[in-house]
Amino acid sequence: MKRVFAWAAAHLVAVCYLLALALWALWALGNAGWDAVGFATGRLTTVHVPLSSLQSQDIALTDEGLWVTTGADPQFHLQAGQPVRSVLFETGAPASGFEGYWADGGQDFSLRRRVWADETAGGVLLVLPEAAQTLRIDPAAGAGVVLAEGKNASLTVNPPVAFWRYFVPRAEQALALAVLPAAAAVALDLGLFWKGRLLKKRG
Amino acid sequence: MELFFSYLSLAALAGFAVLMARRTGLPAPLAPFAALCATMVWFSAAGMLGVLAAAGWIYFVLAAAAWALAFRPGAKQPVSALKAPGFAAFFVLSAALLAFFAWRQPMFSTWDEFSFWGTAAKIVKTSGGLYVNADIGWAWVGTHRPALVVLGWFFQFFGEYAEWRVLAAYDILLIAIFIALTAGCQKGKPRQWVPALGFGFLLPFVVTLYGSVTRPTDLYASALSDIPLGLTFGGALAAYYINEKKALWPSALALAALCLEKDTGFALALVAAGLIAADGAFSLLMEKVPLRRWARPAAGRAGLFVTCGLSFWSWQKYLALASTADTSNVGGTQQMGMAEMVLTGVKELLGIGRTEKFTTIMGGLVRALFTSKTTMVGPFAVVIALAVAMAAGAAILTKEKALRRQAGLFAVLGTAGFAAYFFFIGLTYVYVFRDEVSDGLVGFERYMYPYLLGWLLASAALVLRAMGSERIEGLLQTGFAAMTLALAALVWLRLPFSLTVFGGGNAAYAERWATRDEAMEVQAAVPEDAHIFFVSQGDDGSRWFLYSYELYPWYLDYSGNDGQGGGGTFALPGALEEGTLYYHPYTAGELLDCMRDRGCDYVFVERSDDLFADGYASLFSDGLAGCEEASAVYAWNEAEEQFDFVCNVGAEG
Repeated sequence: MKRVFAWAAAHLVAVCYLLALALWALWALGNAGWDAVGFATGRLTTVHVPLSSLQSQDIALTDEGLWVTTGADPQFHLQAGQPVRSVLFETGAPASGFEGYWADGGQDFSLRRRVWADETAGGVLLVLPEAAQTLRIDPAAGAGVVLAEGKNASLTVNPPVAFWRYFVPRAEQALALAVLPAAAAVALDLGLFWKGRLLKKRG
Repeated sequence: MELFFSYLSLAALAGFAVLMARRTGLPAPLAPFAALCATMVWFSAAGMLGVLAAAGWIYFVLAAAAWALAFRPGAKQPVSALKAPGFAAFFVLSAALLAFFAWRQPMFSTWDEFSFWGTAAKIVKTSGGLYVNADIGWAWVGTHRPALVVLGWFFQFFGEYAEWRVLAAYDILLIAIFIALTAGCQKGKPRQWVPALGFGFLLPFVVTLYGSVTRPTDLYASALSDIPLGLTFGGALAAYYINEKKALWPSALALAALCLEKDTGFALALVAAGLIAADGAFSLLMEKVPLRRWARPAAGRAGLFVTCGLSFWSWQKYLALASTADTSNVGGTQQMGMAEMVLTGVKELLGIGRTEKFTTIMGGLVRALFTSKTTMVGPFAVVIALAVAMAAGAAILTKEKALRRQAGLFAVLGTAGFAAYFFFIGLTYVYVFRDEVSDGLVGFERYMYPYLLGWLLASAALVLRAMGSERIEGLLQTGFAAMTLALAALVWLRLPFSLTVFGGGNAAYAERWATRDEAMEVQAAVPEDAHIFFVSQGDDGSRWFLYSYELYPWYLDYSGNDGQGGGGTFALPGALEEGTLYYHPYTAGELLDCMRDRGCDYVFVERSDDLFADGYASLFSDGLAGCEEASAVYAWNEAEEQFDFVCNVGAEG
């Protein structure tokens, strides 16, 4: 055990990153498990929400039955009445134009709670790093983008999400994974240094 | 595949870095930076001599030889020298960055990237030679230097041209500079080298952004020169200060590269050479070295100035020989040479014939230093105080006498160097810029950033070296780590992660992809040797530059008269107020002459409007009906003496 600690102290940075990866895997597994429990107990359900029931801005349904963006800042606002973990938008529009802002009750939408969309076979998928009460979907960066066809077009709240997607860091999680282990290594190293130094002085 | 090819370039670079780290006395973490500077100088020279491609092949052969040579017995430094954490970190971070960019595919986003830096990179990759006399619709400004452009080219020597590869090359240079900071750190002490890297990485954010950032920033995804310029300047100084052996050749390489990055790099290089020379002279004086033993160190320092001069001059000479552009004066309103400008400026400073313009502009600049919030930590005065405090802190808190002298002197002379640089930039506002630029001190902060970046970096190098001989053990290390943490917190609070290239989405580049698709459709419709006339009503020149870049090697014509050319609005004389920016008042006949005289067989109507349709429908056989809904390409019909509709391009609407 002593040797393990000595090795760890000599390779602090690598150890911290390995530890962070392990914690991240645990966190992802936990999320996947918690969601599975949620679906089993009915806390989370997969529902289709018609676009027409959503509050929207800069988006219109044309006479031909097309959902088209009409301004510079198109948005859908979604209040699902259940915790939202992911949203699937069946569309031919490019995923690169989509972004999602999530918020809890009373929170404003913020650049810090923003996720980018994934392109999947079924459409554009937004996966949130945490459960949210409300979601704002910005489906395109400008006017003239066809989002969906048909008056009854809908999006899917809490669709089943592939297991591996839980392991993809979202929003600032990636930043935390990159920076925190290094910061922890520095803090540990400094702690060990001061501990050694103060003990030496006393002794 | 492009990623693999970029890794080949990185591996070749590694060969030289490993060779330097083993066969010279250079600390391993300085080696990647020195190798990169040598690479930039090598390819710049090859470009000027017109043998770029050959130099590339020789480079890769030599790199293979370097790998072999590095591990032959009899090396100056043991293999364990390579185990310095910074050295390994350089390759890990560079490889990770390349992989991330290959996936993320960041793109150019600013005007100057299309009007020079990015376009030049594309030209060099496409044509295999430098860009000065490239077949493109505008004359190149002679001051634009090649080192960064050929660096971008080096990382795509194999494989296809891609913007992310250019951007990654710039970042790898920055990483190498940050890694150089770790040369002063002791082994097995992440409390020293991790904050060193963090500090370097945060510098561009802290110094060049201000206020709460609400728009995406292109830091670390930019092909502009200001930040690499400032950090190369700092790197040259850091490489000198952090190396106890005071070897001059890594700094000489860095200064040579610096002079070839941008014309203002020469001023920075002279300041750096001056600082290093003063440092050498001061230590000789203090150590009471007899005068007869001054010759060698003096020659070395003189060599730095000669290197700067040669490097700077080589490009001037090349332009004089190879290009038709006039580069003899610094341009602007008063048409004076560099030396005359400085002389006049010094006279005015001393009160001889001082003009009101001089007083107003210089006064405004000094005020801006203290009042304008131009960095994340406040006005420039705060950054200046921080740089001085770091150098002074290193001087006070080190036990090593020689280092104390160096750091103390740098605290003073770094400030003097800033004053000189500041004065020089001020002079360009007084004498060179047009009045509308100089009155508002437009872009003043942009000119200051390079010096400040380099200054902070060099000060940090002194602090990091002082960590090896602390007067109160642990104080500097803890203090520096805490400062870096505070800066990180500040950046994190002010700049949402999703606005950086590391956390950004594809949406930022959606428009670029759309224009690229459109340009490719134009290329499909037009033969490669044709000249294309560009119409984009309401353009301020930015779309013209953008499409010139996208269409290259297809030739987009200057498209307008020479005074207001390079895109703009075409309308009948009198349709718009005279003096409207980018307005070409042409009759239909004049526009046709303009197109035909310049040999344009094709017209690309990117954006039409009523003004264009009202004035010039008669020149087009479909009366411009084809471009009402979408962009369109037209071709000249010699028999009918009109342009015929060819096809629509791009998305509708």
